[in-house]
Amino acid sequence: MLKINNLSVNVDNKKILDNFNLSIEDGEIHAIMGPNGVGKSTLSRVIMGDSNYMVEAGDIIFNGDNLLPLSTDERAKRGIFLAMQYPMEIDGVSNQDFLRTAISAINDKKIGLYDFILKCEKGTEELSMNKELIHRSLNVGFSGGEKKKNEVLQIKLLRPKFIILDELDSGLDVDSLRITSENIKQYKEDNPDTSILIITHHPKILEYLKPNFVHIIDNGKIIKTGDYKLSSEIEKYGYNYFKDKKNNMTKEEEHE
Amino acid sequence: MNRIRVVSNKIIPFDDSDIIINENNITFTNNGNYYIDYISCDNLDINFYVNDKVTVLLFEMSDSNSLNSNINYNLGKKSSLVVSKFYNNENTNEKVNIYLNKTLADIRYNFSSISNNSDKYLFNIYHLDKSTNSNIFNRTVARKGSSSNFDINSFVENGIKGCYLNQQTKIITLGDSNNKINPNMFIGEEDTTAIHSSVVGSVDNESLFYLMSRGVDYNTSVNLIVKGMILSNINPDMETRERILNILEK
Repeated sequence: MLKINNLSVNVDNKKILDNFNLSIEDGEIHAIMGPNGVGKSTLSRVIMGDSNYMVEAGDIIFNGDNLLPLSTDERAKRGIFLAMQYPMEIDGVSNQDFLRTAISAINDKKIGLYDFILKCEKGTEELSMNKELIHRSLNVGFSGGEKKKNEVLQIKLLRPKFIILDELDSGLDVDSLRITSENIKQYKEDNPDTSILIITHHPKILEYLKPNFVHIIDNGKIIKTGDYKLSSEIEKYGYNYFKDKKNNMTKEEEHE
Repeated sequence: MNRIRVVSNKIIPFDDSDIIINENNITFTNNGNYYIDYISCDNLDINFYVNDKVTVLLFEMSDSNSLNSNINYNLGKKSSLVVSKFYNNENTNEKVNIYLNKTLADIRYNFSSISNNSDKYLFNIYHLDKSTNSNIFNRTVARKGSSSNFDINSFVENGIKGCYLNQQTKIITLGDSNNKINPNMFIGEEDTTAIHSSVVGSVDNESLFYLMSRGVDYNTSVNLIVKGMILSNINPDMETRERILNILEK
């Protein structure tokens, strides 16, 4: 589904991703873990086409097509969805108007009001969301948990093929994390070919979503890949353990 | 909502026991909700008076070629006036004087506009008695090639204690345009709370990215943000909302 080849990305003349490679097949769940400031969120923004990030080299292939020439909305129409760490508050744009516009844009046809209301009611109920939030300005005055639930509601309504969860777990209480994770899990079960990329520093969300692969990222590169058990090792030993291990191995290779 | 029509610079009298119309003066004597349509007005001179302890919601709208206007709002003791105003004129030159004459007079002034060619606004807000409040919210969308100028002056003299002054003006530019906001607060009294913000800029990139990441194209995203800014400031009724949306679609 997604193949990232030798991707290098600069922000303000600083290299954030350095010759980065990642391959995600249909239906796989991958988790990228690492401390703050190592390039995790940059990766999600670059996949989605944020023009603030300058791609210096490499390419991102999605279902056989190069994403880099495509605008953000075109990428979304191909089926990519980024659930953001800090969803934007946009005053005056009603959540309802926004959702209807987005659904119509993604499907290239207008959604009927009745159909839309039914889908919203089902989605908000499954997410234990206050139905009134649909009528309010987009994310304005929402709590942290409500914003994240609104992101997951959008997943349910827009039905993407590839979902990036950028620190979905940040700002969520235990109950909200469980509810949002269970909804994503259910979506994945209903759509088995959907792939998910989870960006996080905490292993808790992975207990719900059980990734096939866990990658540790440092200085813009993947330094270790493993299965779900790697997240437990990270919790036990911390990121520095893997970073030091990688550095020692590199030194040994250089010595040889 | 009661409708007041101002046609060719003249107020059309109508029967309403809660207001008194006398030439270019409108006095609100009881609480009420009014809609004023300025039709074919080019040289407007109007004085509004809100009597003591009266609360009025006033919606004003102008969609014309050229408007020169001088509008005065006079507020009595413990009176409250909420003005919501939308302009889509080809050119506007407006002077607004707000007189908070007596203690606890309170005005909230929400103004949204489309700047099509050349717009000039001068606001003078006079806090003339203790514990008077003014909240001025201006929101303008400046079309390519237009110019907008906002001069906003608030006045509090020494001895007029406990006043609250708030000026917030935001201009979103769509292409190259010439825009200026001059916020001034002339405060001679220490016991005053004053807030102001002035913003001129294009549509926020982060908001655009968020909407576009959900498949909404650039133009539709800009349209949503602009509509949101204009409408959320004035919160019109459904009929007026449709009318404004039609203007914005053009």
